[in-house]
Amino acid sequence: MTTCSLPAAEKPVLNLGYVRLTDSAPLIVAHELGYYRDYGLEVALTREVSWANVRDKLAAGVLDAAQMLAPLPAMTTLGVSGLRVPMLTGLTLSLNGNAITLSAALADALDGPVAAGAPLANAERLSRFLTRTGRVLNLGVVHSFSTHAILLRAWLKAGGIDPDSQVRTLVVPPSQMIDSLASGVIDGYCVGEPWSSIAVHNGLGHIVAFGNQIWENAPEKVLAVTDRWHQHHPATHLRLRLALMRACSWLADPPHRLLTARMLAAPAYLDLPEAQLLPSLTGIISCSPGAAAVAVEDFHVFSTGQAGLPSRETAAFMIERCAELLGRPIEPDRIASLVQQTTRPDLYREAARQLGDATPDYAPSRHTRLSFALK
Amino acid sequence: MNDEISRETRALHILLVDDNPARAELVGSRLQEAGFDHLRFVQQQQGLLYQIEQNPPDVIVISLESPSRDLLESLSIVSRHNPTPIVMFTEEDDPSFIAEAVDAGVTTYLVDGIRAEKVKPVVEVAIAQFRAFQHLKGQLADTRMELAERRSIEQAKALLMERDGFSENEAHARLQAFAMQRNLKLAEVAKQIIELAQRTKRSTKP
Repeated sequence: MTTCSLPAAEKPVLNLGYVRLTDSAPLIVAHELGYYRDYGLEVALTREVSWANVRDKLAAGVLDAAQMLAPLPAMTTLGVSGLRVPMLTGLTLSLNGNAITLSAALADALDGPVAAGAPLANAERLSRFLTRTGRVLNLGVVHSFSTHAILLRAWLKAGGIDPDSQVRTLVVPPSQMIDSLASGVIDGYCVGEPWSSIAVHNGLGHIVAFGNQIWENAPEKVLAVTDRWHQHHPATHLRLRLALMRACSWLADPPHRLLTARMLAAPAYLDLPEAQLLPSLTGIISCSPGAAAVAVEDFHVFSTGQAGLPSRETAAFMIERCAELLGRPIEPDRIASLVQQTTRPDLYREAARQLGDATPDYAPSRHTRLSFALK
Repeated sequence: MNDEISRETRALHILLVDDNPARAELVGSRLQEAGFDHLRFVQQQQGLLYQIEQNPPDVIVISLESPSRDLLESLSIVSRHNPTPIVMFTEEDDPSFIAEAVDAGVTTYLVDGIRAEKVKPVVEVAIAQFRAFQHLKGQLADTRMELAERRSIEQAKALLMERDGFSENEAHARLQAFAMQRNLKLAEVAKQIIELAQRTKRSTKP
């Protein structure tokens, strides 16, 4: 490994934030395999409770860089999420990785059992239940502007449910979802793994849809920094992307996923049983308590098929969906400038050249649409 | 500083949300000392929305790590669910002040219509007390560490006294000599001696 051709890091000692989720794997794997060190970086990983925490600590400079929800750099730059602070990403860390789960009590009240692999049928069952009972559901998402909120809204609408009047969306941090479900504060949620698998394992919930059934290869987590930090530390940022891109390539190899579960399970990281991290990492997931596991293709995508390339087309699509969540339109010109500012494929290509990777000028178009074709 | 806080500012209704009762008490008592009398506490996530609805506060001070914080923030974004806008540092644009608050673990939400400078003293008190609490926690950890170190030094001395027939003073002098030779702390040498003794004991067992 030669790093002498790279410009020296302006700040070799870094604080990197992550949230207690399976798809924090690239950040943790890079640490465990010594990739940060290979690029002359000494990284302290800090586990944050929630996405608002990650965003605020990035904005305040307490963190240098962080794993972040894909829509958040643009929405923070726009100023509708916390303080208005320009942020950007030059690397997508992962695609997919989410599931929608309903409480066991709610699933039992539907007119037929929840079916694994039939998200539309499950949404229609829920719709009939809501029409019949007139109930308004409380559903949890991890942030107002998240892939989760977009997926949940698309799934509800597909089943004929009005996401604004038949559902109340509450924001709950990922690791608090299960407690909130168990105590009845929420009736279901859309969250990253392992928080759906653990609910199923404990008999608390049923998975009714996987994220990639609704939106195939949706960008999920990105490496986010503030614009200001990037301006002051371009070489450090490049080295950080390189270390994480190597970690993502390593994660793309299926046998490595077993080792990953062991690394993540450690008390210093996710502090969870290895067995509960394996389902999503291997893509063999049980949807209902006691039910046989089903194979889910591409549940977590790291690196495969240039997954790391931030796509501006997808970013624009995502901001449009966030405008729906916000309840007011964002001007097309504003979207275009936000995308230019916050989504930086040029930074990805700069790093890919160093690694000797092919650097396509396009992102596969399947990244850009709700594949559910659910309108 | 307290004298500069106007009567109008002191009349602000403050809601303190903290899942850590010890810290909440510390912050609360200091706010009261500073003249803020209209103070309420909430700990449970479940009760928060109901409390806000029943008795709307002017300012909400909440710990950064609280799960309820994200919920509050989302309500301020998606106003169709809640007509009361609650915004973090609405008019506060001093980045070092915000960085200090975030670093200390404090977040503040202002209910619409209150000017940020009025809330600043509230937040300043909260920041100082969050820091004081962090300091206390650090001191507690230090004290625990010291106790553990002292215990191992005593244990090592006892081992030396038993094995080599030293007096307590001689054993202590020996430990100090070891520590100086190896450029280690007294407690570290003590730990090594204890470990060595345990290993020897194990290996001599039949």
